[in-house]
Amino acid sequence: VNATLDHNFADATGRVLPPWLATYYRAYLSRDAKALAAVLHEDVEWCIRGPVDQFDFYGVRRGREAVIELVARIIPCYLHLTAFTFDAVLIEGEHAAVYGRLRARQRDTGRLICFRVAQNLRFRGGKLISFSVISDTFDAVEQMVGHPIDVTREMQSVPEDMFSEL
Amino acid sequence: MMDEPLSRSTVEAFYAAYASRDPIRVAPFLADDVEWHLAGPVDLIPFCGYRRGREAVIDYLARGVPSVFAGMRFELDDLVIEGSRAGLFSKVSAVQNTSGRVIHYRCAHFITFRAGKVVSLQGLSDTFDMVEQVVGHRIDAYHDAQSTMPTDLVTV
Repeated sequence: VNATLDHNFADATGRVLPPWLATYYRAYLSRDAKALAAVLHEDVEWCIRGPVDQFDFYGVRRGREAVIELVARIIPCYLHLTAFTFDAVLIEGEHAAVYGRLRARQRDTGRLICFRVAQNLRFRGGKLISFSVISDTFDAVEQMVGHPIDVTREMQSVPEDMFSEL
Repeated sequence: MMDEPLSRSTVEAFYAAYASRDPIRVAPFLADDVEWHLAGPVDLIPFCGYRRGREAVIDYLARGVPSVFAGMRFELDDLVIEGSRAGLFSKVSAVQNTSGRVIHYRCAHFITFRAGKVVSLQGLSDTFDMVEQVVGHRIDAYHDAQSTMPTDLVTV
């Protein structure tokens, strides 16, 4: 089921997400800072696993402000989210595991990008306290750079003394 | 007929059997028509991809994984169970058989059980991290593979 902002969020079995989880995803997918502030715990821990040295939306963020900065301002510089499909949503108390497909249009090129994600979400008092994402990052990065990756090419580091005279 | 709710002990027993890669331990957990999909670059990590049926999954465990890793350990970070489905988030530690390097990466598995047996497993891993460790260096993602392919074709 494709999730758009006015949709009743449901997974592939037709099971509708509980209101607290649907409210979170509505805020997350809208990239709206005010809506995000209402669903994020002040001490939220956030991690999207992936090559942080190649795309700065990967990595760890701590605290509500850092996550809002990422979701509402940094990610939209790269991607315009067009749909999120919930293939599986599992819930135990305030703990949810989501397996889904994310579709987005790359802002620079207009290319449509689609990749699968596994999201692990913990809530406290109805607010998101922990969020971690695992995805097939090799596929995602190939789609974002727009070509097959040559794995034999090693990333060149900047020599430590390069800026010493500046 | 409704399946019995899945127990944490069943999931953990399956995961321990899976990590062991011992066909005799794993086979009893697999439905005849199990579907098994690990997302990833099959040309670089040959055990990624889609398998269907118990024999194909056993072959993946007995031959596919050992073609890359000599040993493998799962450390379960988080587990969510609802009904007959489980979502697992883990750290994997493995020994690369060609280099002896120890490789660590994160993965998630979404597993559906029926009558105590796995009918579907969907796996996702941080494959960029995994591939970097397998090739043994950081990868420049912006370098196009096609631009470094042999240029022995002549256009007339």
